[in-house]
Parts: sequence; C-alpha cells; structure tokens
Amino acid sequence: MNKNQKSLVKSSRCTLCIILGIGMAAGVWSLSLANPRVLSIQEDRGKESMELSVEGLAGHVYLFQKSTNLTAWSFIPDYAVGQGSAFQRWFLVENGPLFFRVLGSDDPDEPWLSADYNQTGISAWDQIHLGYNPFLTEDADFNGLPDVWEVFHYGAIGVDEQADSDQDNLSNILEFYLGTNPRLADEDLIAITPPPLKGAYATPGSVYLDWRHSLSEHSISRYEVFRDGQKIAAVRGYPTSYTDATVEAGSNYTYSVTCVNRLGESSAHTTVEVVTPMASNIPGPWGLTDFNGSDLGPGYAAYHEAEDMYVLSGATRDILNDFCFLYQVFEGDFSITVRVHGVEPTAYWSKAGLAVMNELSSQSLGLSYAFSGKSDAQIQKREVYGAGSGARTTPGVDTEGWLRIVRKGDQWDFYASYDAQNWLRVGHEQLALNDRVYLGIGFAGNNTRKYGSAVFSDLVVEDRNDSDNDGLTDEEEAELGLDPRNADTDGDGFSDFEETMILFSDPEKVDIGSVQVVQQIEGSDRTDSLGAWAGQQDGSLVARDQRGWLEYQVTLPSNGMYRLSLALTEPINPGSDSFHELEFYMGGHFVNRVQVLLDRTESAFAQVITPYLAAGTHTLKVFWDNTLTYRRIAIQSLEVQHLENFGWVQHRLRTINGVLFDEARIQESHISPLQIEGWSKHMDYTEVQWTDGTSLPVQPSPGGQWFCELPLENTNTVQTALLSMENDALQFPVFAKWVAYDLFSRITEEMNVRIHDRLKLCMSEADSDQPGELLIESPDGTISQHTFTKSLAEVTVIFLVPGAYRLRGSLPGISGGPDRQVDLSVHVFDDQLAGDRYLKTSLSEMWSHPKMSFESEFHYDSRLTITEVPPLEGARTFQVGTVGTRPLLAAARLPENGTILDTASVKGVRVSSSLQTSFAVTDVFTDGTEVVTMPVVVSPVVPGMEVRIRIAVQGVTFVDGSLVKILTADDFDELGRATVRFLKAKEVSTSNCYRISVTFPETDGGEP
Amino acid sequence: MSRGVTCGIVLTAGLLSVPVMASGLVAGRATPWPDGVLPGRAEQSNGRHVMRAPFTARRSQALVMTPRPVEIRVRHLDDDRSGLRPLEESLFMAFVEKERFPSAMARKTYHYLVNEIWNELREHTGNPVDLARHFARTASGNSDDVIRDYALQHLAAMKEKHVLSIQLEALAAALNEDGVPLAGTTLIGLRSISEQSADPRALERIRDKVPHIIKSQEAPETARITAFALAGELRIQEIMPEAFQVIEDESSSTPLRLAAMRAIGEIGRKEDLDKLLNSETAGWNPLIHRELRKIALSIDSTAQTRPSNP
Repeated sequence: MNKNQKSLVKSSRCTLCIILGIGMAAGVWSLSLANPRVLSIQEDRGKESMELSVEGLAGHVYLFQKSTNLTAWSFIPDYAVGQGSAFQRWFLVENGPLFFRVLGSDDPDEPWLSADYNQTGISAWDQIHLGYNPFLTEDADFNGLPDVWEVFHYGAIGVDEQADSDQDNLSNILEFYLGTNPRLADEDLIAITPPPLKGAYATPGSVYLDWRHSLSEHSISRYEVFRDGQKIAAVRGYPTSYTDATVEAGSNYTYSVTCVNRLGESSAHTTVEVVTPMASNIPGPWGLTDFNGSDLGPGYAAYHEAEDMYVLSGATRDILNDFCFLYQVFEGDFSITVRVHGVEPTAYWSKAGLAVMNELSSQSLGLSYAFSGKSDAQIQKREVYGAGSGARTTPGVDTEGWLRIVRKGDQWDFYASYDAQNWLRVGHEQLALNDRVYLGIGFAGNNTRKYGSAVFSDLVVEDRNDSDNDGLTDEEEAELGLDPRNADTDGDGFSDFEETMILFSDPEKVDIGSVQVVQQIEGSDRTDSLGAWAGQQDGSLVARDQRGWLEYQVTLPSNGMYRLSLALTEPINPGSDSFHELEFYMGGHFVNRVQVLLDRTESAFAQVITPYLAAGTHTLKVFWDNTLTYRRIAIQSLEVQHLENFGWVQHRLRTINGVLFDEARIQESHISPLQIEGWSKHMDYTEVQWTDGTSLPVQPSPGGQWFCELPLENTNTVQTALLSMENDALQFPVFAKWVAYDLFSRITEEMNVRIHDRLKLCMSEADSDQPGELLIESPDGTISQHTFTKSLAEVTVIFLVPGAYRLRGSLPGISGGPDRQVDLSVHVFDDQLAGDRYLKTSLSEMWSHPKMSFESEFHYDSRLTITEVPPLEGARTFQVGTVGTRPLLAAARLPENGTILDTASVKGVRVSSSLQTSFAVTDVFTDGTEVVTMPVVVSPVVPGMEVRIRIAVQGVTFVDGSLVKILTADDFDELGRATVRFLKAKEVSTSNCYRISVTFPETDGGEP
Repeated sequence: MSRGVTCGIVLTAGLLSVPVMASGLVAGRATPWPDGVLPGRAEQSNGRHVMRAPFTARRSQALVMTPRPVEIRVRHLDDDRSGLRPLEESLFMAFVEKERFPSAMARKTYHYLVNEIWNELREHTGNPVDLARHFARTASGNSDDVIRDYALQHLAAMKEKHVLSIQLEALAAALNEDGVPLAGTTLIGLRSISEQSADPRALERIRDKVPHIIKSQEAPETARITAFALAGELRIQEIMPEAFQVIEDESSSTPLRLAAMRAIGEIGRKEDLDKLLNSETAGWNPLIHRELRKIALSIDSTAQTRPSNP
C-alpha cells in the first residue's frame, strides 16, 4: 500500500455476511438478516441466474464471492457502492450446490478491500472510489497503462506513457511495471545507470555533449567524459553537459560519458560518434560574431539541418556584451521567436536566448531575453552606449522553452511559452533603436575561461511591420495584395483595415464614393428605452444606471446598406480599460457587437453596417451590455451614413452571403431531399422558394452557414428553387434534378444516407428480355425484391430503419454468359444531437449525445471551444465552452463532410456578480454589522433557470439569516438584474463570501 | 417538467489530450467573413482601430506582470480559454504556498488575486488530487488566516469524488484546531460536501460540531453565527437554550441574534414564539423586526404540525 492509499479515511465499521444457496435442483435459498442485509433473492430458472437485492449502506463497499464447498471462495468480478438504498446484482447459477457471499465494509484497511486484485498497484478500495472495477484492467487510451493507475496518479487518463513527470529517468510505463510512484523520484530504487544522452552537437571547433542525470542508489560524485577512449574531463556538481573545444574541423570522434557515485562505482558508458563540420554551415542571411571573443579562442556556430537546430559555443562574458551572436539585419517592426533547448551552465548567469543590437559592438544599445542555465529567464536592456545593461527577471519562466521579442517602433514586448502555442507576455520595454537593427540568437557563458554551449531550434523572424499604421501588418497586406505602405491602397478614403474587416468592400478598387449623412439623431431623441437615462442640454443622453437599451427610428431614403455611427463618451472615470460593448439590432434582428474604448471628452464611434434594407423607417435598438455599476456612458449622436456605391455593396453582399455549390450548374442528386448549403451573415433575411411557390425552411448550421432541404420529386426533370438573401438584394435560381443511380455503373460500393432519405435506382441495361432483379436486405432482416424492365426502369428506395442495408442487383449474362451481379451497401444514419444547450460562459462542460453515432462527423462553430473526450456511458461526448452569449451551432454530418443530420446550438449565459457589478456597504448597524448589497446580472435571463448563491464563509449570512439564496428568472428585471443583500459581522475579514452556480432547464432533449 | 442542468465546476480532469478512438471527424467551421466584436474607433475614418492585445492572454500574466492593477491580472486569468498546463498549475500553487507576495500590492488585493487563481485552478485543473492536497496544505499551514479561510472554501467546493477523503480529513483538522478560528467556514464546507455526496460523514460531523461551537466560549462569534444558521437549516434541536440566551443578550451582535432567531423559527415550537415575542429584542433593528414577523407567521402557519414542548 502506498502513501496515497493510506491517506484514505479509516472507519472501524466492518460487516460481513454469508448467503447460502443450495443448488438449483433443491431450489432452496437461505437469507441472512445480518448486515449487509439481503433484502430478497429471486431465481430465474429460464436464464439460470439469480437476483440478489442487498441493502447498501451509504459509504460501504460491497464485493461478491462464490464457492461450491464453503471452503474455497473466489471473487465474482463485480462490486457495488452503497448509496443508502437497495441495490441488485444478477449472478449466473451453475449446476450443483453453489454458495454466495457478500462482503461489505467502509474500512479501507479491511484486507479484502486493501488488496490489489488486478495488479495495478492500487487497492480495491481506491479503485472503487475512483469509479473502476478492481477486478478488471481497462486501457481506454491504449497507452499500456491501466486507466485506474492513470487516474489514481494523475487524475485523468491520457497520460503519456513515455513521460517522466518526476524526472527520475523512469517513464510512466516503467514506473507502472516497477510498481513505483510516478510522481515521486525513485532514485533510491535503482542501481547506477549510464547517463542518458540528450544530444551531441558539433561545430567546426567544438563538440557539445548534453546528457541527463544517472540514477544511483548512492549520490553521484561526478560524470567523466572520454574522447576516443581517453578521459578528457570530469564534470562535478550540477551540470550534465560539457563542451570540448579542442577538436579539429572535419574530424571523427567517439565520445563516451560515465557516471561515478560516491562509492567510486562507475556506470556503463554512454557512447556517441561525432563528426565535426569542415567549416561553418550556418545558412544565410545569418552571420556569427563573438565581438571581442576571449583568450581561449573564438566562438563557433553550426546548423544541424536534420533537426533544424543551431548550436553556439564560446568562452564568452555576458549577453549584450562579448557573446556568441548569430544575427541578421532587419529593418522595421518584427517578431523573432526561438526555442532554447538548453544552456550549459558554465557560470550562474550563463544565458541563451534572443538579442537585438543597434550595431555589432559589445558597447551597443540593445535588448535581450534569455534563459539562464540555473535561474529564471531575464530581460536585459542597455540604454546608453557603453554602459552596463539592466536586467529584469521574469519569474516562473523556466530554463527551457520558447522565447519571443516583438518590436513595434520603440516599444518592445517579451513573451515566453512552454509549447509555442500559448504565449505568456512577460514584459514590456521602451527603447529607441535604429530602424535597422541586428537581431538573432545569442549565447554567453559568463565565463571567459571555459567553453560553454547552447542549443536552439525553431528560429523564426516575422515581419510585423505595419508601415502604414492601418491596423494590418505588412505581411497581412501582402497576402491580401494590398500596399503595405499605404493605409488606403485604393485611395477611396477608407482604410485597408476598414475595408477588409468591417465594410467588406474591395480594398483594391475605388468602390466607395463620398459619405453622405442622410439622418442625424441626437442621443436623447430616442423613441423608447429601458434603464435609467437622462437627456442633457447638449442633446446627449447619459446613462444613470449600469446597463440599458435605446431605440431610434432610422429613416432610409432608398433601398441599400447604410453605416450607422454612434458617437460616444464616458463622462465619469474613464481609464485605459474603459472598453464598452454595444449590440446593434435592426428590426429585431442582431446586426453586430462593437467594442469601443471611451474617453471623457473625445468621441469614439461604434459603427456597424446595416443589412440590405428597404427604403423607409426602421427601428434600431442599441443595447449597452455593461454590468459594472460605477460605469456610465453618454450617447452623443447617431448618424445614418450613405456610402456612395461604386460596387462596394455588391462586394459586401458577396462576401457575407454565398452558396457552397456551383450556382451556375444543375445540382444532380440520387437522393431526395437534396440538401443545399450556403452562408449568410444575416440569416433572418435568407429565403428559399420552391418550384411550387412554397417557402422552404432555411436552418442555421455552424460557422454562419445555413442549409435547406429541396424535396426533389420528378426524376430527370429540372426543378427550380429561388434563393433570396439580404432582403432580396441577392437573388438567384438553384436548379436541381433527381437522377437515378445506375446500379451497374459501379460508381461506388458504399453509400451513406439519412433515415427517410429516398434513393432512386435504375439498371439502364435492363429491358423486357433481360429484366434486372434487385434484392434489398434491410437491417431488421426484411427482404424486398424489385424487377427492372423497360417499362419499370426506376425504383425508389426509402430507408426507414437505421443501420446497414445490402442491395444486390443482378442482370442476365451477356450472350448466355453467367448472370452479372453488383452489391451496394447503404449505411443509414439516424443521428440526433442532444438538443440545444445553455452554458454558463467561461465554464466548460461535458456535452453527451447518446443518439449520435461514432462514424458521423461533428462540425462546430469555431467560436466554440470543443474537444471530443472519451465516451460517457457509451455516448459520444464533447467538452464544450463558449465565451459569448450568442447561440452558436454544432452539427452532426454524414461521413466525409456529407449531409447534415442534425444541429443544436450552444447558448452562453453570462452571470456577473460582485467584481463584475459592485459590492457596496449600504447600511451599518451600531454594533458594526454591515449590510452589503450586490447586484447580480444575468444575460440573457432564461425561463426556468435558477441562480443559487451559497454563503461560503463564517460570520456572513443573507439579511434573513439564511445561508442559501435561490434567484429564479422572476427575480430578475428586464435588464437581467437582481439584488441580494448580505449581513456581514464586524469581525469578518474576508471579502470572498459566497459561491454562485446556475441551473438551466433542459432544452429539447438536452442532457442533465 | 424539465430536469435541471447544473452549470457548476466541471471535472475536466485533463481529458483534453485523450485520443478518442474510432470517431468521425471533429472540425471547426469559421465564418467566411471576419466575424466577432467589431473594434470601434476614435476620430477620423483612417484613424487606427483600437484593438485588444494581439497575442493570447495567458493566465500566468496574473503573476508576472508587475506592477499591474489586480483587475488586469484577473482578466488575464479569465480571458484565457486554453487548457491549464501542469507547469502553470505548479507555478500557481508555488505562488500561494511560498507566500510570494507581489510588491506594492495591498493585502486585500492579494487575497482577491489568490481567490481568483484558485477559481481558475479548480475549473481547469488536470490533477484534482494534487489541487485538493494543495488546498489542504494551505488551509493548515498558511500564515494568513484569510488565505486559510479561502483554501477551506475552495477545498470544500471541489466536486471530484476521489478527493472526498482529502476534503474530510482537512476539514476535520480545521475543526480540531485550538480556538476553532475557521470553524464556521469549515462547517459550511462540510454542508456543501454533504449536499453533493452520499457519504454521511460530513453531515454527521456538522451535527456533532454545531452544538459544541454554539456553546463554546473559545469559538469566534463569526463561527457561532454560521453554526446557528446551520442548526436552523439542519434542525438541530439541542441548540434551543443557547438560541434564546443569545437573542436575550443585548450585547450579542445583529447577525448572531438574527441567526439564532431564524434557527428558532426553523425548529421552534408554538410556545417558543411567545417566548420569542416576549424577549423584547425585536424593535431596535429593522432586520430583526422583519425576521421576527416572518418567524411568527411561519410558526403560526405550521403550529398544527409542530409538537408542543413536553
């Protein structure tokens, strides 16, 4: 038993019960009333099984045994956990007398509970409490480690079997086989081992060897390095690396490293063959300097192409001083990234990382960000020529990983990452350097009497220039074919950023003319509002409370798209973080969400482009989505702007709307209905009208897309649907034809369809003389037969049962030859997602779909965070999270991006309290007791939801003395606000006093 | 009637990296046009748009970006949607356990930051057992009582079933401390555990300890307030004499008297109401006055079902 097991709570209660069963033939059962109490026994002769009903005491664990002689007992591989109610088990009853025994206890040290039945090194008690059967060994992730072992030691499965989390040179798989703890270094268990080599890196003048610590029962005294059989160095103490700078270019060497422990015992040697390059092989445009070098010799560099690695070696002083610098010249803004694999710690402050210098001089102004061999990474900056360089440590950034420096003019940002995916911004500096600088990677051993080395990879320099300062980098502009030195490439008065990110006009063509204000409305001229607002003498409207909405009547002179520009300020306490968010709705339809940074006096503009609207009056609703009670906003004015259309409207329409098929061609399908797909930013304005004039439903799908089912009816006849988008601004016909699938064309042998799909089949070679036969075997075993002749040339098959259908067609042979046969497998899917889901924003939860198959595809809106996880209770399951409150879609599709089977939406609900709203003392009693008032804001309020607030700290209650408060949808006003009041005793010193959770009603089959 | 969907903290347990065998493709679909929140702009048409940070915010910035207002640190925690790395977890835990106190940060702000870090850890941890042990260590060993209090709260809030024994052990230890300085928070924690788990030990311990704390001369008043509130919630009858004693003691604080009064309201009998009304404690505080009226109504309406005193 290991430490973890011993930490489980012990209990003195242990109970055991024997149940006697005397053979099927006798049919006599004995029943014990002791604990665990057997409530009933029922035998089922037909199935030769027995059902036991046992009273399961809460907290007790139950195992089951059987015996034929009451002497030798064997465990039945099953268990139960008492929940304070009865549980049942079914056991097979074989011939002859058989006895069953139920063991129950809540004592983890009970021998039969502390035993390890499945050889995982974990007691049955612990396994059961982790939810695993102690008699089985599951390995759902196929990594060779039992799942229970992974969960016991790491809290989850999916552990990398080769990883070594306690860094004792024993991988997880080895730890499992040795029965050791993977989270605790096991150095004492192992005899001295040869040092594992991490790498051997050669330059023309040096060889750098890097290895990991050996394991030894006794402490390690030193490592010894041999070259061609001769000992050349003894490395003592912390380092596990050595640079040999006595080599010659273009030579072969054999190195070996051995470990010696304090008893003088040596490990076996770790040996490696090394060839030094003839000359520097550093690729252009990189160059190398070591500035003034050292008395020992020059610095070296080499590039290892196979691993894309660079090695720098030298006996150098400090970074930004005399150091090995692999550099290139770069002009303008940039981002440089590198992965540092290791630094040889020839001194405490030996460093390897990124450096930027004004000039190639050890006195030069410059910056660096480098890992140290022994301590946290440091940012260094030399602001004055020839002066020292100030250093700043970035705590928590370890000795290996990725580093990045980003330049924006005189502003420098420093980043670190463990994985090159997630970046930590660790610092910011200001330093005026030349536009043209030297940038690259550097190594400084901080020891001019000893050679040291560092290894790098993933060296990337990116152009981050935004020469025209328009918000798009030069690289982005180049990709878009825009002029990076002109903020407005086409010269139409709108920046490239605005055209590509907001207007969706063509930034390369003058497609927008002048801007004409067609209506100007003062902020206070609203037609409706909710919240507390106050009109000002200057015509603006100032919020008196934390959130609200306003409605304005917008009159458009002609059909078209207009820009709405809302001028705003923050009249009270604006700061660098005064970002406000506003949502715009036109005629009740969502248009966009805008974030603006507000100032007290200078106006900022929240601007959106309307959908294509008809001339006339429309209602604009602006929702100020704020929760902080101290914030205020002033709506100064609303302008309705007409942007003269030289083509931008069409460009925008074609950007935000479209179809996922070739609209110029006839869409042919063997299956009806035919699903067509497209995309639309304003889906509410998209319609499909069928041949007969009926309107077909257009349903949303992930990524702003939609789909529509065309009910094809007449074979080989072109039917037409009229697709209208953006209030008919974009309109075109869709031609579709139902075409029979010729079974003998052998296009495919397998087909995926949805349940209730209709497949039209034919055999073009069949006629009255040579009738074709079709046998259809459905998953439920029914077989139907069809004959193809000239007069009956087509058959429509409707798939009513999910599963695999087998279609076998046959035709008489040609010229008296054998009959020809063809098989077609049709897999019928009946996948359904688990329905729409409410989700608290910033939380991720499991989303299980019991009616979704594992073969179908799952597509989701990329604004959702979704990861598939192992099935829960056999159901396909995803971990889902959302940040926003707008519904986002997920869809199940047939394999290979096939037809959509079902969709469901994830609807975020944001719950804000205390720090996102406020927390104010609103009354103080004479005894010092405070009444604290806290608004709770929910967006949106969902009928049937419950917000449960539970006090978590002593001395605080709600004002009625209770510890729990439940708010229902009725408690929130129209803006989603409710208020709770706490009573806080004088002595309470914490401010963290409650926990908040939300429950939502189940929606359309949503999971609990 | 629909079932409820609980949106609490979810056990993610490092599942993010688990390969899922034999499933169809899982693919994200982005809108064909740039979508999201539009940046507003300051001043003229060609003015540069104000954008938020171009790089993904990282949780660890909550620790290393100094000096930084705590709100910005916390926003870094909240904004980050990526999985929590083991190194990050270690970093956060070490930050608290080594009692690294950022310079120029007020104590209260530090408490707030630690609380937010723990919220993040609880939500994203891949190692709930380690995290539970971290909370347990902090609850017993930290030099700051507020941090210890928070650690107990977070430990009790963990929902992973295999940390139950760590929870119970640490909370039991807190209840056995001299002077039981955090007994109230601990009792609330046990109550929370008892609501989630079928294990009877948490509830047994509350029933056992609540009367002791109410009667204790050593326990802080804040703990006694909570103990009365729980006594009412769990209908622990034996605290009635102390409840009357408290409401008749004019030196008792408002929350203590209110909690005692509410407990009587929850578990008292018909004749207790008269006694309560005769205690002449009602008039001087609006909350107590209001609560007393509610209690009177409650006892009155359920008088038939409440047994009389023997």
